Amino acid sequence: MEAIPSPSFCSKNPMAQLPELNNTLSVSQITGQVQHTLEKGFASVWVKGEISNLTRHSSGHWYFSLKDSGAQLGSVMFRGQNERVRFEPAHGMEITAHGRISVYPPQGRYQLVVDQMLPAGQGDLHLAFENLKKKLHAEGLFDPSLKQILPAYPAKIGIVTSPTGAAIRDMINILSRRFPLAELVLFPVNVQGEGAATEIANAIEAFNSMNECQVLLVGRGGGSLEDLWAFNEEIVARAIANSMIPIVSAVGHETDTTISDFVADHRAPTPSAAAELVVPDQVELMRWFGQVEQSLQTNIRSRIEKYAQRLDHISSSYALKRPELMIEQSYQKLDHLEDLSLRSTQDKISKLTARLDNLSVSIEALNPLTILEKGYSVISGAQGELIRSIEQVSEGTEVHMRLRDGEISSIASKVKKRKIK
Amino acid sequence: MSEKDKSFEELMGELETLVSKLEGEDLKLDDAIKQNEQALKLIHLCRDRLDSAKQKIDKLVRNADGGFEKQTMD
Repeated sequence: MEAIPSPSFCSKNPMAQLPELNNTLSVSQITGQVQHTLEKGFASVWVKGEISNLTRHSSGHWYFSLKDSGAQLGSVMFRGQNERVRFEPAHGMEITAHGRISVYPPQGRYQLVVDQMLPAGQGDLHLAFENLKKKLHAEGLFDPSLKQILPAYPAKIGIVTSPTGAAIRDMINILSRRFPLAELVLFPVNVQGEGAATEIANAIEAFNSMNECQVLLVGRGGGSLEDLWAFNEEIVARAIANSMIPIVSAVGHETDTTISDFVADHRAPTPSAAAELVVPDQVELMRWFGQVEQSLQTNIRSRIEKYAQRLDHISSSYALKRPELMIEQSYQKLDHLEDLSLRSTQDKISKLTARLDNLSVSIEALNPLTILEKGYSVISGAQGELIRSIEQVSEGTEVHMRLRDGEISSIASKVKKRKIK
Repeated sequence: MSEKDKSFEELMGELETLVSKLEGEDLKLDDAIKQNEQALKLIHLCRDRLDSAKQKIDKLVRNADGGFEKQTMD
């Protein structure tokens, strides 16, 4: 069996009496290797301990030790980081700190470089938060592909929150102002304290088994980390993830982030913002209706004008009296149509447009007449309908041929169909 | 289904479809006029719905069998 290789900074033989030239390290070298190992191995750690010997240096950096009954750890928190600490750390205070281990070679010391600091109780919550977040993230519960799309015009909105807080009042106000068409169904729950998380989760499940609402608002107003805690509990996160109805999470203020926010289909910074997110504004809708009406009018008018231009074009092509007459009539009808198009009954318009279509077909049917001069003829049936296909004729059918200078009426004696490739 | 039974979302969906069809070029004048008429009718209906909307708020309360029932809130 091969010997387990030792780290390079250990002597291969601990019993060696004489220094081996190849294995001797300088102080800087070994310190460098220790530094590398420690800094790599402890790049991000949470440490719990009691603050002692806190010095706030004039440079703005904080120097202190973290200790417990068995050990102490030199620590530093630089100005850039300690400016964000939201409590007043003091000697003897239990805290949870996050940071990395760094080695200071000139003094051969290692220390904790702190980048985040929380009072111990809060630190525990914070750790629980981070752990659950990591776990649910690994399970894929935050996956963007799971996010459901919110309905544009929900008919019924479910709300899971406290019936007495400012949150429900704000949400109802905004929802009624923006889109009173939506029916609201409130499921009153406790949003903090013992059992709150279970109540919230049950409410989400109840809405799902009822299956009447198209979207759910789940949340509460602002509060301390402890107040908002129910929304960081796994049971709530799972109820949100399992919901078939899209959920908007609305917890606390802009700066508060909860696990619910990560799992929900949408995250709103506040309950009011959530209310604005789930419904359209009726004032904007009404404005949009006005704009659409106008553009519909313009659209139909330009279609009719295009039609008129087509007739115009045909009329200028043929110096034939009959079509001209038809075209004059068409113009009148077009004008009439334009007047009517936006308010007349549907069938009047249909009749008029159908006649217009016939008219234009007849005018176009006259088109070949100009080339009769070249020796072509036009064949029509007994009712004057144009014969375009052999399918319209069978043996014995009466046909009329129109030539440059006259007409021939005859009976088809033989009909032969030609294959068209 | 008559328009009265349709949800606002359905009416809006139809309106949006009609509007985008009318924006297209390949539409016969006759069809364009029909669809225009229908779009205006939908706008009218949606406006009416919004105008006459009254916010309805219900609260869910637990009943004797452990289920829930709705109660009107004011």
